[in-house]
Amino acid sequence: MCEMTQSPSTSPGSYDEHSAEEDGILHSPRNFLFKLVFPVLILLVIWEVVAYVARGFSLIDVGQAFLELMIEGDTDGVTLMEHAGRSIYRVTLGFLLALVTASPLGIAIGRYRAVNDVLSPVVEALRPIPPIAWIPLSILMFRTNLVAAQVFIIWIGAFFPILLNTTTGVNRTNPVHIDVARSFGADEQVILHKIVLPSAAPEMFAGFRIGFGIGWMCLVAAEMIGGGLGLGYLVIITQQLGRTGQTISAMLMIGLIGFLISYLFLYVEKRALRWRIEVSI
Amino acid sequence: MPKLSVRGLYKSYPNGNGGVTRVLDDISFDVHDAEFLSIVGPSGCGKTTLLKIIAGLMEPDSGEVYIDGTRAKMGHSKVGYIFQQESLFPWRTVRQNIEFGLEVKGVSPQERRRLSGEIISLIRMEGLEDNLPHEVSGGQARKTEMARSLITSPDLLVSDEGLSNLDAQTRNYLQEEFLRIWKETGSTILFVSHNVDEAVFMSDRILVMSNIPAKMIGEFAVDLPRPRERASTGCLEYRAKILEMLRIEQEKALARQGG
Repeated sequence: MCEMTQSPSTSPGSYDEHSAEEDGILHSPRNFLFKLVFPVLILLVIWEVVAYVARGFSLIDVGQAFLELMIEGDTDGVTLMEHAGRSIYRVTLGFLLALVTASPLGIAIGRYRAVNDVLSPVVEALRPIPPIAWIPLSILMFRTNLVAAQVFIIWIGAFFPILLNTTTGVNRTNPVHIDVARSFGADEQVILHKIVLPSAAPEMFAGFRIGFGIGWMCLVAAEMIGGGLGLGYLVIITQQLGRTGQTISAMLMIGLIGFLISYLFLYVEKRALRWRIEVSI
Repeated sequence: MPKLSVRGLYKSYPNGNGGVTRVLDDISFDVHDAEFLSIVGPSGCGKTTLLKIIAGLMEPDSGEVYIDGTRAKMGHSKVGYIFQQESLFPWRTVRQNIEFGLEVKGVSPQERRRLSGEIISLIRMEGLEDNLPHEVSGGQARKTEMARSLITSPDLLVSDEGLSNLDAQTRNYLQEEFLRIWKETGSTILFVSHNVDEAVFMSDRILVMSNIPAKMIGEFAVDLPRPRERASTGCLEYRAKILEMLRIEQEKALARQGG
């Protein structure tokens, strides 16, 4: 689920140095092959391996289960889209919470040495704890408020990538840019607003994207707590009922939504940060 | 009254061995209104430190800076600063870069637009306003920095090796642009360079700085008519005199290190 470690990765598209190809993702034969055909082939191979190992499963079974979930819903009559909507709601809540808490903290750690000295060890001690390990505490803390307990897990997952990327971005502020601002008599607030934030924006955006991604991955863990709705819940409950086709349908939906959201982030990143020429999908 | 008065500046930095390295050693000089003054000296002689103190970006150990007779303290904004390294904000267009100082000072958007329009035509960069810094040439970037520093009408414009790191052709062109803009705006300019030719070509007066601890060791009033010819006898004579002074200073510095 989400025990994976989070690295302060910054520039995801850095493999794709030649960003000249811009928006035309599928225009050239090379891109068509590399960006569409090969990925799909690899996914199919993975599928075949999983199907072989799990035995006795075909695309048709899954397709049937998928359609059934879409139209008729699960045993309680809740459709796949309703589950997805619920999950998106929870993740968005956790993510926004992480965004408004981790960004200011990351800026403070990146900009002020005293804050860095005091808080960096704290962050480094808490960061390796996987979000899933917080589940018992989360239940204790929030008792009857299930949504809060779930949002808390997602918040933990999204918090650290945003924090670390923001800190990295702020650290990279070019000192001469700050000198320029000070030569015009800018105070600290203006420097933060007009220099530090915009120059850290690319790393922060990457942090948001990675944070959302990890929050989304923590979904299954968060929804294991219960709640009766959500894609993660659907994975757990259908597995317990032995409806593997529905389990896989829910997994596919999790993957698809995660993929779309990641692309949405990249798209916004590219639009908003035209000055940062390395950013590329 | 001089535009800028520097009186008895001292500045030391801690060095690696727990001691201090004295960089500025009793620096005093004046720059007159609308004057083009250059300071030349060997690399690493503390010229940047001096400019940062003048611009209120750094505190001296002792000594004072006066602009128009008023004491200029840390954080003042009376000096336009053209930095040694490229300093345009990469996330802002040419126009947004130029308007930056006005934004900081709270000038209204309409007024900002008007002033930046004027200065963009002064630096002859019409049509490039909406380009990002990576979309203009090195020379155009330098001119944009110049415009950004000038737009708030600073009392004094300082340039820290502003025209180094450029190819010879661009540098010559920018020197002439710099002179033209200086004339048209009536600015007072303090120009720091390690390039003696450049200083002679451009300045009313040249001060020569020593190796650290830096002192002012010479002063030349460049009494040549403008526009000047780079290779004219007059320019070459000044050049020879200043280079000789720097050479002797270099020998002394080596002797000090050896002894």
